Amino acid sequence: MEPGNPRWKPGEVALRLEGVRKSYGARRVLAGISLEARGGEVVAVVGPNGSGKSTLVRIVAGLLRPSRGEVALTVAGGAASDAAARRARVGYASPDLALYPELTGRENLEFFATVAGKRLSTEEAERRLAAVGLAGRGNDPVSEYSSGMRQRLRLAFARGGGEAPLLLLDEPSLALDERGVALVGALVDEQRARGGLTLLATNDPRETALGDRSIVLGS
Amino acid sequence: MALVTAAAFLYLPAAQGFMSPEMARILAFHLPNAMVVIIAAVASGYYAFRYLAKGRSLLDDARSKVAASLATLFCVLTTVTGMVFAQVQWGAAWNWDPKQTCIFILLLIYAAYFVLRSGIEDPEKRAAVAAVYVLFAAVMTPMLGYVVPKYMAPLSLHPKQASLSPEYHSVVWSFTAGLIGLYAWLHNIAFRQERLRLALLTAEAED
Amino acid sequence: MSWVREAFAVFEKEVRSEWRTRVALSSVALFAVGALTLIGLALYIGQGPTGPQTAAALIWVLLFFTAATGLGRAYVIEEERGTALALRLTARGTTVWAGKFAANALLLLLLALMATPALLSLLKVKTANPALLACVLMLGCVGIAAVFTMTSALVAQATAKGGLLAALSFPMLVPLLVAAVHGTNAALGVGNAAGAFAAGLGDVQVLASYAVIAITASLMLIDFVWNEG
Repeated sequence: MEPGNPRWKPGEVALRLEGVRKSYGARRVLAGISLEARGGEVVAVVGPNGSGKSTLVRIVAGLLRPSRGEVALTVAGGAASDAAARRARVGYASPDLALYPELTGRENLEFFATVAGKRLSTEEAERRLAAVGLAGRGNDPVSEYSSGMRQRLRLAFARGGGEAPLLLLDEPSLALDERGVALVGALVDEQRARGGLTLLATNDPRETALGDRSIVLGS
Repeated sequence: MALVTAAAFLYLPAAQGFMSPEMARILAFHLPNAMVVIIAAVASGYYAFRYLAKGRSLLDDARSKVAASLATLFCVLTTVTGMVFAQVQWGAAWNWDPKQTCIFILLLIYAAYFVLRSGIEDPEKRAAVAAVYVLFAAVMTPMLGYVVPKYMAPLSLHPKQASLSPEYHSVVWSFTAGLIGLYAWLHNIAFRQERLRLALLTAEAED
Repeated sequence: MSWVREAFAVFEKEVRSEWRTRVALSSVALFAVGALTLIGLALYIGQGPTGPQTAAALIWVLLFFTAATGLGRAYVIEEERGTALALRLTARGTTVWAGKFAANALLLLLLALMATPALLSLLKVKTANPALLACVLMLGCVGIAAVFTMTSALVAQATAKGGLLAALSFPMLVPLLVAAVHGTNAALGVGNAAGAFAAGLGDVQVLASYAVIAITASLMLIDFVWNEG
C-alpha cells in the first residue's frame, strides 16, 4: 500500500447529486436522490435488493443517464458534470464487471490502461496485482482464477494507480474471505488518506461499517 | 382529397399512347406516392438527428418513428401502384427496374428498422439505436441511388420523357399536394398518440 | 497519437482473444467449408455449364453470409460476457469500433484469400486480371467489415438478436455487392477478354468510396450507441 500522502487537499474533491431519478418506461428504479459528499469521506449506499443501489452507482460513474436530475463531480476546482469526464475520473468495481477470461490478469490490467490512454509498465502492473494479493498470478489467464481472485482483480481494476478521485465499489466483498474483506477496508482507507471520495453500495454490514455515513434507498 | 381522387378518374381524359389507357391513370397516384416517401424518409432522418443532437427528447424519437412508419406505408403504396401499372402496361409486375429495386431495398431498410426497435426494451436505448440506424442508412442509401441506376440502366423501364397531356400535370401536382397534406395529418395524429402514450408512462413512473 | 495507440490496443486484444478462443475463426471456417462443399456438390449434380459470372456471384454470396455468421459476435460477446462495462469505462467508442473493424476486416480478408481460389478451381474458372480481382476483393471485404461492425454494435443492444444482423446489413450493402460482383466479373474476363484493369476501374472507385463513407459514418455515429451518459 502507498504511504498516506494526501493527493487531494480537503475540499478539493466534491460530489453532488441533485434529484437523481431513473425510470425505464413505466418502471421507476430511483426516486429523487440527492447527496453531497467531499473528499476524505466514505459514503455507504444501503438498501434491500432491487432498491436501485447498483443503478445509482452506475449513474454516478457516468455509465447510465439519469431520467432526471444532475450529477456533478468537482476535482480541485475543475467541474466534471458530463458523463465522459466522470468515467475518466472514477474507479469502479461491481459484480457484473467482467474482465477477459482468455487474457491473463496482467494483460487485462495492461489492456484497460492502454485503452484509456495511459501507459502501464510491467513493473507497475505487478505492483498493482500485488496490492490486491494477486502477486505471481499475473501470468495466469483469468479463466483459471477462483471467484475470489476475480474479485481481487476487479478491485485492482478499480483502484488503478490511485489516480481516481472517486472510488465506486458495488458489493466489493462478494466472494472474498476474511483477508479479502480486510483488503477492501485497506483500499478504502488508502483512498481516504489520499483525500479521495468513496461510495460503497452494499448490504453487507461489514462494508457498511466502513462508511462514515449511509444513505438508504427504499423500495 | 376526395375531390382530387374523383377528378383523376372523371376529369382526366384517357392517356394516349398507353396499352390500357384507363389503367394508366394510376400513374397519377404512383408519382405523388413516391414523392411522399422521400419526404417521410427525410423527416425520419431529421428527427433522428434531432434526437441525438438536441437533448435526447423521446418526443423526437416518437416523431422519427412515426415518420418511418409512414414512409413504409407510402413505400408499399408506391410499389403496389407501380406494380399494377407494370402488369397492365408490360405484362410483368416485377422487372428489376432500378427505381423499383431501390424502393424495395428502402422497404427492407424500414422493415429492419422496426424489427430492431422491437428487440430493445429500454426506451432510451431503443431510441438511440434506432436513431443511429436511421442516420447510418441515410448516409449509405445515396450510394444506392447512384450505384443501382448506373449498373442497371439498360433495364430501366421508367420513362425518361414525360409525354403526358397537360391535365395530367395539374392532377399529379394537386394530388401530390393533397397527399402531402394527408401525410402531415397522419403524422400529426400518430405523433400525438405516441406523445400521449409517453406521457402516460412517465406519469405512471412518477407515482 | 494516443487514439491510434488505443485503437491498436483494441485490435491487438481482439486478435489475441480470438487466437486463444478461436470462436469466430472456427465458425467462419466451418461455415465457409460447408458452403464450398455444398456449392461443389450442387454443381456436380447439376452438371450444367457454369462460368465466371456464376463464380463472381457465388464469391460474394459466400462472403456476405460468412460475414453475417462470424463478424456479428464482435460487439455481442462483449455485452453477453459483461466485459462491455469495463470497456465503456476506459475506452472511447471510436477506438473500440476501429479496433474491432480492423480485426473483422482481417478475418474477412483471410477468408477471401482462402475461399476464392478454392471456389475458382471448383468452377474451373480462370482469372483474367488477378490484380483487379485482388483490389475488388480487398475493398469489398473492407466495406462489408465496416458495415457489419457497425450493425453488430446496434444489434448488441437488442435482447432478441436472431437473424437481425443480416437483415439490418443487407440493404445497406447492396451498392457494395453490386459493384463488387460487377468488378469481379471484369476481373474474371466477362466482357473483358483482354483482361484489362480499366474495365473494373469504375467498380474499384465505387468500392473505395463506399468503404470510406461507411467507415466515416460509423466513426461519427458510434459514440451515440456506445455511451449512454
